[in-house]
Amino acid sequence: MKTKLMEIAEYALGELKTRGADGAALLVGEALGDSLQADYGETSLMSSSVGASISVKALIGGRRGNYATNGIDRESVDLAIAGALEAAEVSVPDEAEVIPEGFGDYDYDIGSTQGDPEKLFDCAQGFVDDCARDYPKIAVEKLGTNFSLNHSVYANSNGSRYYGRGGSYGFGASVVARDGDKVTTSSGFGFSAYDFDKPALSREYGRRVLSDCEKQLDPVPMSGKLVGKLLLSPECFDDVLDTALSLGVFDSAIIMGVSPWKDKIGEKVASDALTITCDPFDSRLIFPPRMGDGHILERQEVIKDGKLNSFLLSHYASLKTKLPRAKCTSCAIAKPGERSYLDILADIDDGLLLNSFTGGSPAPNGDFSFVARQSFRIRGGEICEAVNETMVSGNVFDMLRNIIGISRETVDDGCLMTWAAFEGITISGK
Amino acid sequence: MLQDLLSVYKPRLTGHTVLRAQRNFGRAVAIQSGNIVANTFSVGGGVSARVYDGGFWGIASDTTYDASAIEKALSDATRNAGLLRARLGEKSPPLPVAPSGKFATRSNENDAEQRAVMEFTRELDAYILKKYPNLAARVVSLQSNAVEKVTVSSDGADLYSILPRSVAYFSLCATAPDGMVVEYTDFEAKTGFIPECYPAPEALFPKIDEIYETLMKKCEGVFPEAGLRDVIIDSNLGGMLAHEAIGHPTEADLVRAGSIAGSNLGKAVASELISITDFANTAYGKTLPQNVLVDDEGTPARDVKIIQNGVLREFMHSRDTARHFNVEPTGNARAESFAAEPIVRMRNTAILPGKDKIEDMIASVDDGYFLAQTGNGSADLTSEFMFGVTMGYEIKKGKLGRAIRDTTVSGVAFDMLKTVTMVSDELTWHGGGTCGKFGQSMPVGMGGPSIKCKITMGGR
Repeated sequence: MKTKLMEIAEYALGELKTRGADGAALLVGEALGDSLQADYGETSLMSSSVGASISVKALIGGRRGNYATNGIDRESVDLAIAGALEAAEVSVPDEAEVIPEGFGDYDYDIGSTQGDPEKLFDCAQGFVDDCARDYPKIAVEKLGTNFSLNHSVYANSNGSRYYGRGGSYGFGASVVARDGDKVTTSSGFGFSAYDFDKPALSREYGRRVLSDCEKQLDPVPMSGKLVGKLLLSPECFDDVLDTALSLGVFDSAIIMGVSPWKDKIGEKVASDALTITCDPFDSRLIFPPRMGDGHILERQEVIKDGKLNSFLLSHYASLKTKLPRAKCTSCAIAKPGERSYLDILADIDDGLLLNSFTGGSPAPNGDFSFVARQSFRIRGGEICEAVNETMVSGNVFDMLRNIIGISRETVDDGCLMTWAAFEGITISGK
Repeated sequence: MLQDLLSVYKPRLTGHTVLRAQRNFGRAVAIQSGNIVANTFSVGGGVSARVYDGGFWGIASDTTYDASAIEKALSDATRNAGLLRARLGEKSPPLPVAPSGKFATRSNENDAEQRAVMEFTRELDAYILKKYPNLAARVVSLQSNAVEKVTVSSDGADLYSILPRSVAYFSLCATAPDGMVVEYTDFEAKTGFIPECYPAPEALFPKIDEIYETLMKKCEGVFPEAGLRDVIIDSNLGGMLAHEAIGHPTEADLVRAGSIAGSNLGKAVASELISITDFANTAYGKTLPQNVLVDDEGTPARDVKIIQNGVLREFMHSRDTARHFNVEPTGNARAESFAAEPIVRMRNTAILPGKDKIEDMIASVDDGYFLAQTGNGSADLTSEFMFGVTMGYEIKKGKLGRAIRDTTVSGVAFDMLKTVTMVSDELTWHGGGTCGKFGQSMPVGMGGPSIKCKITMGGR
């Protein structure tokens, strides 16, 4: 497979150069997949797929064009080449449009080489059985298990030749709790794995999601308004952090100059307790990437002891702003604290445990107003009744300055986040 | 045009089998504060077979679309369904036949050249820069997307369909007097390819001016007061309310999963002023944004009158859910791509207009808010919903007051809709919506009048 994809890449790069591109990069890949699905707790669907794709970026005098299609036969590849060249010809020059420097040859091989359909059945049925035994009020709304095998080649006109092969198992479930006519909002639990060698519910995270879902059957709307404290589950903290980083350190906010952190490199932007690193080499991560944005990834410190260490800029944004390029923009990891999340909870006299939220997009300055989901009232250091129709409002950048606790526990199923507690949040109901 | 390689297989399709070929096109140019950040064309497509056997489904797909790939997809899908049946035993009898026929939707298929889209978008950006040079940031994009399908089924469906839509998107940022960067985003979506929808940039200049003026008001805006408030939801948001608050809880697969709507069929769930319909393709003599004649299971699509005069009347169905609930399928099974499983999705969901005038509605509010624009929304099985409000105004003693900054509103639909006391006589359709469900994104149409009700607002 590597040889076939490399040949396509060499052909495309050659054609692009011959036809006028002075720089080019492309990603070409093939994927095979098998999946099993259960609806309402019963196996219902088996599917298999064969896929191929190519995306081409062409530069002509600093003018960029992109074309993507999901075929890698000669006709599709020629169409992609012609389309990228046509798009580049009609664009305008931009000195930041440069093909990244070459890194030579790099192979990355991870995961299984072949899926086992029996494991898809066993993992799905095991989850349904475990749920029925341990969480009798949980109804499995939709459940999917899959195996996918992906081969991909990235190549550019500066000599980079990357081949990646990844074989991964995936699990995802959407569940609700039901009791007579009462039903809860949906909760989700999913993970990727090198192998389905242990039950889905061997993960503490999954059991917590199901247990919290069952406790949501009799939610109570908040009444009135208070300025209190929030304890965020690791998944929820990850979402809040994503929001802050997106508004504060990623390309758009920095290029457009609207980031509240645009002049804050080296300055304090968060509580001392917060250290965030993007580290694709952390051994706890499942299927960490090795290549992104045309570069082999490296460890990147973003926030260290509350100080902003780096923006997370792409190659393009780095050249555009003349600021350093990020060595990695994914695989965010929060440094654990010293206390357990239960100790942090015990210090919260009045507030909310937030497992999830939905809401409108936050403003560029970080102001937000969200609806609490799968959440509970905290009183006197204890988790009390489930809540619904409850809003939380604040500012994500202020939140990071008002951290009152980072847990020593982390969730290591895809994100490596801690529990985190904050003060000064407006919590309101009817 | 997507070639019909599937019709020749019709005589061979047995039981319940559907063959689908689909191509999704996307063309986009985006300019961010003068920098061209997108200049792309993409096309993704292929063929799939879906086979039903003893209560189980088998699907197989391939990005290659030729005779060999079709044969393999049919064979693999049949094998997949058979594997489940052999392992787990027959679960259900064959699906009832849903007679179908030959259908076609056509469109002016003249797509723009990339050069024209680039020049058009740059003209829009140049207009903004020249007329409003003090903006903190600006984003302009012009994009078109099209979904083209050929579908044949064992029940006789034979469909060719192409549904293009084009979207002009603007996001402007300004620095408010309090030093805060304020953003206002709006877009205009039309059915068709770019040349048909947007013949000249000048036609969009008034839209840009309107967005700028709204942004200036928002810069002077205040934070709303959190809590349960009297509001007028503008017709711009009425469609979002219909889609999120009522549409999702009444999708029959979610009803089967336990949606609160299931125990309310035949009961009053809203004010008598509220009627909600999921239209298949046309309404009031007009073709709607999602012109669905036959769904992705080959079922002819019909309108679903979800709520009539406040009473919950029916749900939206696929073949599978229709059999479960012992009703006829409604043609709501839609798939994001050729490879995806068709699941129950909305088409064009609208609250039907009432008799009130918007001016009278605003005048009737002593202390509340006028919610003018939204950006996103969601709902769940409990019918608790939320949507983001990106523009709105205070209403004081029957008059519009100061603008408000971004907020989120929420409620429980079956409670909130009982608080509706006025419904306006206009109906605004939006064709630019995209709905996500079980990992699939689907274009949807949404329509609504203005509504007076009580709703929980976030704020300070």
